[in-house]
This record gives sequence, C-alpha cells and structure tokens, in this order.
Amino acid sequence: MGKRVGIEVSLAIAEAAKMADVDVIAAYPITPQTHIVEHMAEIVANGDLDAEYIPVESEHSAMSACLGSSATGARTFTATAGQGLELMHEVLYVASAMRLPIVMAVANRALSSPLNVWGDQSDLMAVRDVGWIQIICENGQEAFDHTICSFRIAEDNRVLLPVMVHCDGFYLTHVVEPIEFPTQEEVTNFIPKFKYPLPLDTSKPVSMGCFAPTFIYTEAKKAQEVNILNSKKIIQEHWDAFGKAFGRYYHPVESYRTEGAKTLLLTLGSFGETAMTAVDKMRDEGKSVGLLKLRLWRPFPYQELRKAVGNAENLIVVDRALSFGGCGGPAYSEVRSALYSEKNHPKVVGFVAGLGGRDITVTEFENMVKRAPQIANTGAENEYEMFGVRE
Amino acid sequence: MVKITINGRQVEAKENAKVLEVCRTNNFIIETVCAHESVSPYGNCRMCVVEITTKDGKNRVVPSCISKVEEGLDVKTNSEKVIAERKLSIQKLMARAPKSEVIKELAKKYGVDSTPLPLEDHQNCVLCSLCTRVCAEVVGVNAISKINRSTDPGALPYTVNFDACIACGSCAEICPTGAISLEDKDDTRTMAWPYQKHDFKMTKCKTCSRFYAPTKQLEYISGKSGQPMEFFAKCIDDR
Amino acid sequence: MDNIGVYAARVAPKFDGLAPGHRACIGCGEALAVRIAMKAMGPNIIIANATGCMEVISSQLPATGWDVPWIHTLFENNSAVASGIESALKVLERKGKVPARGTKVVAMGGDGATSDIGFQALSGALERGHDFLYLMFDNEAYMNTGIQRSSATPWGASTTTSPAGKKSIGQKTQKKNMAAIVAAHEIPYVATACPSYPFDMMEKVKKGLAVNGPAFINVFSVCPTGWRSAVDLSVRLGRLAVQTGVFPLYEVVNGKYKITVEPSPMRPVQDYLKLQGRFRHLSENDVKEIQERTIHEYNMLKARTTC
Repeated sequence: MGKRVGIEVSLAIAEAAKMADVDVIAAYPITPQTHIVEHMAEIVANGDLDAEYIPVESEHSAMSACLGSSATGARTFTATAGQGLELMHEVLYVASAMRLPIVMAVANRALSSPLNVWGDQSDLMAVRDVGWIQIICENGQEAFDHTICSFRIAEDNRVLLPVMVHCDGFYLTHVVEPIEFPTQEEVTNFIPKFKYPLPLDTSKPVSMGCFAPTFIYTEAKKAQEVNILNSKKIIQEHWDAFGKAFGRYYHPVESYRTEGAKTLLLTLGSFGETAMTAVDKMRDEGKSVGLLKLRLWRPFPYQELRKAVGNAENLIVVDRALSFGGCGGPAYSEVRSALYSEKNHPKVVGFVAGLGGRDITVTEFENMVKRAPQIANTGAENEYEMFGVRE
Repeated sequence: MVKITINGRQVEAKENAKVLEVCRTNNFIIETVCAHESVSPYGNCRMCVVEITTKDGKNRVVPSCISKVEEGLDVKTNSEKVIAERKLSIQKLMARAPKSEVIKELAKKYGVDSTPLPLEDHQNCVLCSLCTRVCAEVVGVNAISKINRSTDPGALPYTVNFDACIACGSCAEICPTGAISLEDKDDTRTMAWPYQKHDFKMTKCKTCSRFYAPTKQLEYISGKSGQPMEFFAKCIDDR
Repeated sequence: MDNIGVYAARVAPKFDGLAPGHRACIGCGEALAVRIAMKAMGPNIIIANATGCMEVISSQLPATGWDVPWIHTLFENNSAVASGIESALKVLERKGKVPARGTKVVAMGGDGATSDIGFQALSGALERGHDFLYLMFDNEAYMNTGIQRSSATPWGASTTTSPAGKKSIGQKTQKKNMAAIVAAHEIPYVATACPSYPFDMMEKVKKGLAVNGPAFINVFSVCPTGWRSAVDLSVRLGRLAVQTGVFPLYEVVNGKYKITVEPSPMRPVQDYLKLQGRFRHLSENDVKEIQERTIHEYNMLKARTTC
C-alpha cells in the first residue's frame, strides 16, 4: 500500500513520471509548467531517476527531441503550457502520425496577446486536431493518476499514440493537495516494460517519416484515424485496470448527481469541482440540476456523452476558450454537434467564462443555470454568451 | 542461398559467402584491422573471430573473414569466448604497434589496458599486409613485398620497390594504422613507409600550372590505356 | 589526401547507405556527397534528416533508399531530433535496454534547413554538446522548393526570389559563413568539404564522427538545376570552387584552423562563375568585386590558420 502525501500538484506530476521510470525528458521552461520540469530536473540531478534530461532551447525543439528519443525506443516525457504548446504545434502532428508514445503534461494557459500567464484552455482547444489522445484532469490526484496510466495507454501496441494530460495552470499545477501515492512496486507492475516495435536500430534499419505523395497520403491518414478511434475502448480497458489496481476508476464522461436532472452543466478540468459545489447547493434548494464532466477530449466520447445526457432538457456547456468568430466555444460546438442527430436532444447552451485565470464561482454557475432557459427559448445573439464580462 | 543464424536472427546468405561479409551486409558490426572488401581475405589480425556452431553441433571460434557460411550455421559475434579471443588479438596488435592511436582506441573499447607480450614497435605497422595486397590485386604494380622480412630486430616489415611504385597512394589510403603517409609539396610527392621514404616527381598542368599527379602514375596509365602522354599534359579540370 | 584518385578510389568502401535509384536530378552534387559521406560513416549510424531535396528524392512511400536507420520529421528540427536520439541511446545503453554498439548519430540538412530555419535548433544542440555529426549540404539556395535564395546564397547569384533585374544584381548579401559561426560554439570539430575531393571529404567525415561531442561539416553540393550549369560539370564545378578560393577546404580541430587543400596556384573566379547561368548577368566589374572579396576572405582564413 502507498501513502497519502500533501504535495504541490506539479511536483506530483513529476513524481509520477519518475515512478514510470522515464528514460528521456526534453523540456523548455514556461509558466505555469515550470515546477514540473524543475522538479524533474532535480530528480535526475539527484540520481533518483536514471534518465537524460535535455534542457532544449525551445518548445519546438523539446517536442522534436521527444520524437527522436521515442523513435529510438526510450520512454519519453515532457511538459509545456500555453505559448509553448503553440510553438510545438506542427511537431505534435508528427508525433501522432509517426505513432510515438510520448506523454506530455500540459499546464493549460491563456494565449497572448495581451500576455497572460494564468489558466484557461485556449491552448488546449488550439491543439484539438493534432491526433493526440487528450485527457483533462480535474484535481491533483487525477493529474498524478493519469500521468502514470497514460504511459500504459500510449505504449500499448494496439494504441501507440502520444498522450496529453491537461491540468489547468495554477488552479491545479500550483496548489498543494493530498495525493495518494502508490508504491514503486505497484507502479512498476502496472506499466509494462516499453518495447517500441520498430525503433531506430542499426541491426534492423527502418526509414521513418517518409514522403507521401497524393496516391498514398489519404490512406495513411485514414489508418491514423482508425487507430485513434479504436483507442477509445483500449483507454477504458486501461482505466479499468488502473481502478482495479489502485481503487480509483475513470471514465470518458463522468456524471455527478444527474439522476432525473432537467438541467445539466458540462465542464472540462478543474472547474468541475466548483460546479459540484454549485450543483450540491442547487439540489439542496430543490432544483433539478446535475453535472457532466468531460474527461476524454480526444478521441471524443460521442456514445458515452449521448448516454450521459439522457433525457435532460437543457445542457449548459462551459468553455474556457474562445473560437473567435465561430459558432460558440470549442467544447460547446462539439457537444452540440455530437447531440444533433439524437431524436430527443436537449437544448444546448454555451457560456465562455474563466479566461486568463479568472475564477468561476459557485454563484456564477448558479447564474448560468438561471440564464440558460432564456437563451434556450429565445436564443442568444451569437449562439453563446461570454459570461462575467465587466462592462 | 543458405540460411544461417547470427546472434539469434535468421538471415539468408549466398553460398560460399564469407561469414564476415554476411554479418556486415546484415548490419552486425564487427571491427577488423586486416580485412578489406577490395582485397582478398588474409586472416591475420583475428579481430573478426566469431563463435560458430555447425548443424551437427561442432562449436569453435574462427576468423569470420576466411570462413564460409553453410546451411544451419549458428553465429555469435559477441559471445564470451569471442570477446576473450579478441582481447588476446588486441594484445598482439598492441605489442606490434604500441603507439598506434587506432589500436589504442580498439584496446579501450575492449577494456584492454596493457599487453604481456614484448613490444616490437615497427613504426605503427601491424603486419596486416593490406598494402601488399592492394598493390598487387588492385593497382597491379606489385611494388610492396614481404621480401627480406625476418624476425631480426630492425628488419623491414615490408620492402618497397621504388622503381615499380607509381605513387598512387592506395597503400596509404588502405593502411589501417596510418603507418604509410603521402604528402604533396610543390613538384614533389613524398611517400613514406615504415623505415623507407621516397620522393616522386609531379606533372605540372600546362594550363593552370598546378602539379596535379605523379609523373610515373601518368606514364603507367598512359601505357595501360594507350592514351599518349600529351593527353596528360593538362589536369582533368583543363582537359 | 586530396590528390590521389584513379587507384585509391578503388579501395573506397563499397557500402552504399543510399541506394541507387533515387529521384535526384541528373548531376546532383548533393546525392554524390551523401553517398561519399555514407561510405565514410558505414552502417553503424542513425540519421536525422531535415526536409529538403534529400528527403524527397530518397524516401517516397512505399519505397526507401536508406540502408541505415533514418528518420525525417520536419524542416527546422533535425538537430533537436538528433539530440533526442543521442540522449535516448545514451540512457538506453546505460540502463542495459539496448546493447552498446557504439552507434553514432548524424543530422543532415540543406543550407536552408541549417543556416536559416533550423539555425536555432542547431545552435542549441551544439551548445548542449550532444555527440553527433551535422552534415550541411550547401547548394546555396532552397532548391527543393524551386531555387529561392537562402542566407547561404552568394552575392550576385540570381535565384527566383533574388532575381537579377534592371534594378537588382540578384542576391544582395554575402554568403553566411556557417563554418565560422559553428566554430564560435567551440565544438571539437568543424570542417568544410566537397565531394569533388572525395578522399578529403571521407577523412573529414570520419574525423567528425569519431570525435566525442558535436561536429559540423559544411559540404559544398553543386546543383546543376539551381545553378543553371551543365549536368556533366558538377564534379568540375566543385573542384573549381575550391581552386578559385570561392569555397576553401579547411578544418577547425579544437579551435585550430588548417587548410586541407591549398588552392595553389589560385585560379581566377571567372573560371568558376562562367560555367553557371546564375552568374551570367554579372558585369566585368561585378566579377572583379567577387574576385577581390574571394581573395580577401581567403587571406582572412589563411590568417586564422597561423594564430
């Protein structure tokens, strides 16, 4: 049995990577990810982990070095945030298309300009289509658990895809939480030894990242798509195994007090916990409100979401990112389109809130629930509303 | 074609191919001193030894450069026996060329730090005979020979016939320890072998005035190809 | 070793890491350079290739021309990918997860990938001291995309984005001196090479691969398509570039400069320029300017070898 430790979540993520016995870490510092990589560097410097820490000169090179390292067959970990994730952007596509099982913690942060280092999910939504498995964490324990479990998912030969573990910057990364640490033995038993099927190896030369003209590119992309779609049930398989081993079970969509709820809130990430408090309060007041939390962002859990929504009348999606000039926040658009073909789908209402580190309070969730029926019946001017804008 | 196993991996090989050749085409790395693909094998340095087990169970350590493949042969390129044998070979090479950087590097790789054998420094020559082989088989002038070689201290490892030599530099290029050198200065090419040295005259290009090749080499090529010497009055860039 | 040929060439390694049948243009100096480099390096290497001609001509799916482990990811990141490979090999060998084979890591890229877009990644990898060899195949413009100028394009050359016209001489800036910039990183080995001098080049590649730490070689790669020169002149153009002093061959070993092929007597630059369409528009005065600058730069280099 492990023990319960009070620790900053960033450090816990680094400890998780250490327990996973990673071989190579290539990272570039950026707020609010710094504590993760600082601790990682410290662990390596103290000899607590036999690994190579590559202090690269940019995030673009961080992810590029991860490509090389993973392709050589090394278990590879990195972390970034906001602008860093954007600088990596083109490299992220390569990692997934070449099926390199890199695990990356992302301390979600707002994007410039104006400069803002605090948490929101603009960076996360901008890398929606890069082909990575993306998991959104709600609290420190989840961040720790998913960092460990993601190595097992990524390196499964049926999956072989990179995984992003998203944690809200500051709201998660910089808070101290009580976290259940398993023993090293338990973790070692849980993650099988990494053996990349076709690494860069001089005894058996392979060419990776070849040039694909039109006649074969579509087929390559189709194969990639089938691969990530198929990964969904394997992800659940590993989450179930994790539950069995450590007693904490995870699902693509988590439901909280949704029984018979007419109105459902849907959140991604750390604000789920505030929303839970709000739901408790409203339920105590006799209101028929429940909460859905989207944990698996890619591959998108269509069926699970449809099932979880059930017969609710209104569904309120709270986005912490904007899609400028689009038809609503990114999560809102996706959720709405996922439900569109359902016969009895609820009215879906979108709010964008909590940008650049601004808090979303219990009262604000209550106000969203109050405002939602109006929008649902009359429609908002722009399909969605930005919530809590000071005028 | 025959099927053989190298370090547990099955590979196909041409009949009568040498084991070393097959290992190398399949990307198994074996470092050698006296083996070179352009000349016939010699089996002298014994760095290429491998452990083989035949189909009927005979097991031995053999130099792979002169051993032929056969159906069902099992080859180990890095077994304990092989490493032990190579360490011995390195000690012999160290005794012959104690100052050679190449041999020192090899010794470092195998963790050999000294040799119990008496040192007999022949100016970096390890007696691998690559120079004699290349001169006879590739160039065809037979200028380097083993004549007068003996166990006497101070005896020449090889004798160079300066009349036959055309200063083409093939021996310098192929020498694994850098014991043979070539230097061009103005109208002279100086070739130096262990204990021997000779200057050769260079031909000057009529157009650009560069000394571009040893005159004897041009004469030799002219003789072989039938091109008149006037053809070689200009360098390749001005022809 | 620059002046041996005919016979010594026959003892060059027969290993062809880049298989025949690739899609390079006729007379491609870069394909020749890669083949020569591969002969010197042998099969115990892993290559990280930048996007460019070399990647496109050699790796079109479903075939590959490479007989060594080879990876291409993006344009500007081959140094970073090489860093990752080198670090991975180091730790995997240390942990006993792969056998220690002494495998070396090589990064390859064109002049655009190296001196422009991948400059930062290269500088980072050099500064971190990874044990790898960087080969910059310098054909003096972005040839793969259609002969656009790069920072390695020489003054006066006409390219598609620095065209010569009534108001322009073509490329208005001088060629970026990559070898000197890399040497400023104080790495153990820096050199310039040219496949027209194959023995000199093979020796340098071997040295670069053997040193412990980063090594960099700027390989002059004649491009008949981009330079508008006859396809049978590629090897000669390389030799003329060296003999005119336009592209001197030298090495910098632990900071010490040494010219490996003396261009003596030095030919006039016109010998080199007149064979190329990209310089056809130059006036006598322009050529004179190039001549003066070439001699000036060669003397500067020469001065470095004596200090």
